[in-house]
Amino acid sequence: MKRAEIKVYRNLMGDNDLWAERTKMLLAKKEVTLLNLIGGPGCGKTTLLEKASLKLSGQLKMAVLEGDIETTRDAERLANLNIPVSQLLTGGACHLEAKMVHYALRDLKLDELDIVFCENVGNLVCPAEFDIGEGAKIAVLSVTEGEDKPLKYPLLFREAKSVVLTKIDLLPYLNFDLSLCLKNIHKINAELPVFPVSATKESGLEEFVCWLLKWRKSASKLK
Amino acid sequence: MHEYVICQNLVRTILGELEKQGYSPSKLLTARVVVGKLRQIVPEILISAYTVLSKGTGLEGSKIEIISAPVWVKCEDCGWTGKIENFNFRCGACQGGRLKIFGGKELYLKSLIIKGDEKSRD
Repeated sequence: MKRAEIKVYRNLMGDNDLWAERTKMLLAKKEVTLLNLIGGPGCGKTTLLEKASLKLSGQLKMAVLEGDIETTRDAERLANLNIPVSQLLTGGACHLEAKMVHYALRDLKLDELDIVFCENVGNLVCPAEFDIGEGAKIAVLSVTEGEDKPLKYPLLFREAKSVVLTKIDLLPYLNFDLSLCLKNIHKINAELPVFPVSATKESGLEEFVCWLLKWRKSASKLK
Repeated sequence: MHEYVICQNLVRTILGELEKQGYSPSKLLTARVVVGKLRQIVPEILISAYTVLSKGTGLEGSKIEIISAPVWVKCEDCGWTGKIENFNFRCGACQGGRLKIFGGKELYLKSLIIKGDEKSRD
């Protein structure tokens, strides 16, 4: 049988990348920073946002996009703190895509904001693959998940601009080797800043917020 | 399971390209897809997703072939350029970790292998 090969070279993230690009243009115009918070289910992303919002108050005006498969529980928690929040329900999908994030951003009062945190669906795999138009991905890893996770999910730790290591108040009760975890993170990404945090005890948040403010300043200078 | 979302794009892209080039979808034998090693895409899932999602589209019965693309890096300290294996992000010369990635995140449809020759369009 005769056969012929036709070369096409077509990107398979086409639509997603297009919407991500639109979001980047919109946010650049509005001078708003979008951060994509990625971590496993129950790693403490919402608690981190609750506590970080208190530290950011008076410095930056923030809003949150809450990505979940089901329920509006996380959005309700943040709304109780008077944080502008929109809930994105994927109804089963394991990650947020650029188009839904773009529409949700357009519903926020961007002119009144400096920074939007997008809490992605709890998952270390799929959200790392999809650009949602963010300025930076931030990996959130809790000490209860084990020190080997950076090696098991390398893409996220390669793509992230920083790591927040949560629940460190639990260290005395766990067989978690903190120095091995840091070594594993830096094996994947040698220069990645890591912020050990206990949101419930409110320790380590200052350092993370300080980095965030500095990073935002340097990122906006590059534009 | 993001392989299914990517596969939806793949099926759409293949159908669009075949139409653009003037071929019937049933002419397709194999679509060659390049997937970088940094992508967390499981080839077996992408292949089974294609079997499911191509059903009833005219592409049914065709296959996808996945070509794995290596991770290429350049060391920002000594300038070494090379491939890395097993996510060992270390410079092959100075063992430094300041590496710039310029290959390994590919995800694209490379080519379509069709029955007949390029002139036998429908």
